[in-house]
Amino acid sequence: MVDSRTLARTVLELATKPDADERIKKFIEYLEKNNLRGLLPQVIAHVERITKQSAESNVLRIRSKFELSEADIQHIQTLTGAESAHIEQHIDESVIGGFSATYKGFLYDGSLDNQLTQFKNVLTK
Amino acid sequence: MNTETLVKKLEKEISNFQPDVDVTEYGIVQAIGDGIARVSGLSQCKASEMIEFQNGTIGVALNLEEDTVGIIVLGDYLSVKEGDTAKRTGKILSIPVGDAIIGRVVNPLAKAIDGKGDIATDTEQLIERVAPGVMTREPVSVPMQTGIKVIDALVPVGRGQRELIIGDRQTGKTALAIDTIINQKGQNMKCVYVAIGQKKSKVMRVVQKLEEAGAMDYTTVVLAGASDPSSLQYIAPYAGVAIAEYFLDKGEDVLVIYDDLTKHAAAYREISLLLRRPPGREAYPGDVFYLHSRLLERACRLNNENGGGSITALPVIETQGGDVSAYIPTNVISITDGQIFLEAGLFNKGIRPAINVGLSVSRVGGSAQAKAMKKTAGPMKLGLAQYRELESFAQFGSDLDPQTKKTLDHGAKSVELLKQKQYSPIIMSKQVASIYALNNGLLDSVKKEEVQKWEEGFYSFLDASKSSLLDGIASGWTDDVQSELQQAIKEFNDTFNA
Repeated sequence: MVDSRTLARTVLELATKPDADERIKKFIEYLEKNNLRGLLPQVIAHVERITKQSAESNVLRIRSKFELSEADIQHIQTLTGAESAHIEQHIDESVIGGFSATYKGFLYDGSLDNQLTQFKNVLTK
Repeated sequence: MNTETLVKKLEKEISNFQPDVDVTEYGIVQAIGDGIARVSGLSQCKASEMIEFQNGTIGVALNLEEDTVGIIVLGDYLSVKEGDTAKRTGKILSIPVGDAIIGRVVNPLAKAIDGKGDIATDTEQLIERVAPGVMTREPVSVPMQTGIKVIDALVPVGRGQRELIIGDRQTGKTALAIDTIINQKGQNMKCVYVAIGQKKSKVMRVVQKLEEAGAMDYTTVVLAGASDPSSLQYIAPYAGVAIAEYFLDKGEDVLVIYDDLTKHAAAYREISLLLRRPPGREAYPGDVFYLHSRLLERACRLNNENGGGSITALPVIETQGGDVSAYIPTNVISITDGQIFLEAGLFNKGIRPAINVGLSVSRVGGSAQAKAMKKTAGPMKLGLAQYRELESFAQFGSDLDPQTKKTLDHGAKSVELLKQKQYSPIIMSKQVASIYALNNGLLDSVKKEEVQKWEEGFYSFLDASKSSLLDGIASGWTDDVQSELQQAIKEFNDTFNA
């Protein structure tokens, strides 16, 4: 039994094709033919959620104690592979030094706190 | 090391240190409640991977779903909030272990909770490990002396065996387990006592008793109390066996007691329902059999090529109204190599340990029994079976033939002889000596009420003047030893009857 989540993913995939309008029309026909039209509200909700998630995932969020220079940000972009991402910079007093950044579900911890922990691990190993 | 050297070493370490950016996958807590967190993200997360929450609390990924990961929080879940980050650690759930863990009371994450400071550990042991394969094992052949006459004689347990202790509440299940630990003193055996869902006051009394008996020198207690989250209760027995495996890998013999698996199954049921896994019979999840089978399969006796160590498991199951046919009891009965069945009726009659000899079995322990015990206990088993059969008929009539009367008298004396006080384990050779006396009619002159008095006196007599005979019984069961034993019993009887 096909579920609304799978249908949402399918419709998003179809939307990327060159003849998207035609394909989506056929998709609706498929839903009607298989008596799945009732799932449409849920499919739309999933589509909205997935779209929002993917838009959010293309944001590089950087936390640091002070505002970073352009060069620093560029360096972090290269490090995280987020060259084309939208940048959000946050001033966070709890970051004593260095930075911490999040991008596409990964946390890049270059904070002083983390470096001290690493050094502690080296000394106590 | 003087200060100058220390500074130089530190300077060297600092100059060599190259800080790196830590890259970890993280997720966001979508929902949290009752010790279960649902975290979105973590798309690369592995099953049983340790997850670190923003506040430093550790959790374990149990349910890997399409959009979220179901995580059981091991510890303080009240300070984990919706919207917190949860980082992958890349490590499958493991605990730190080492020789220093012996003599300590720890929680299921191997953190000391006895107030004696941190435990210096040298290695990490996976909580879930595949049980040893067939080719690495060896049949059970070395006895695990419990020091309890009725068990060592009639339901013997071997090293590497899984013997279930089953019975209603307040029938002496924990007492049996504790006595067994106490008896391991000087027997080259490490012990792990896992307390699941028990009152902490009760466990502390057990620890105190073990300390008094000097048993904490070779014992570790893993405690997941009744007030601990069910997630900790769920991992407690696996943590216990992981500690045991550390010693097994070093070729040592270990005894693990899981007290009790009924509460463990209930904790797992709670977790499974909260994780929205489909409920089955009595609301237990479908894999509740696997829950215990994979745990108890880790009990083994390894062959010499693999170190020759062993893990003996004594799981405890609590029944309701003596019903052994309930779901969890039947599961565990079918997994183990036999069971010791404790009966409330016997306990109330004053027969302690309250073991029902008819319902108790040991499937592999017989081959591990010492020769002397095997030869002596055989006739006793038969005598007890005949006694049980005749006992019920004897209640209806007083006109019994002499042979029946003799069988009943012999049976009643056997029951008396098998009674034993708590915290007083008896060495195998003494057990053999007293059972030999009973089997060979040397207790005929002793009244039923005086059997225990006779026994105490006899053991003191053996200790005082026949220690070489005790050594002889332990090392072999020759005709000479038997005649010497017979002579000793007669000698003692003369003084006892006088």
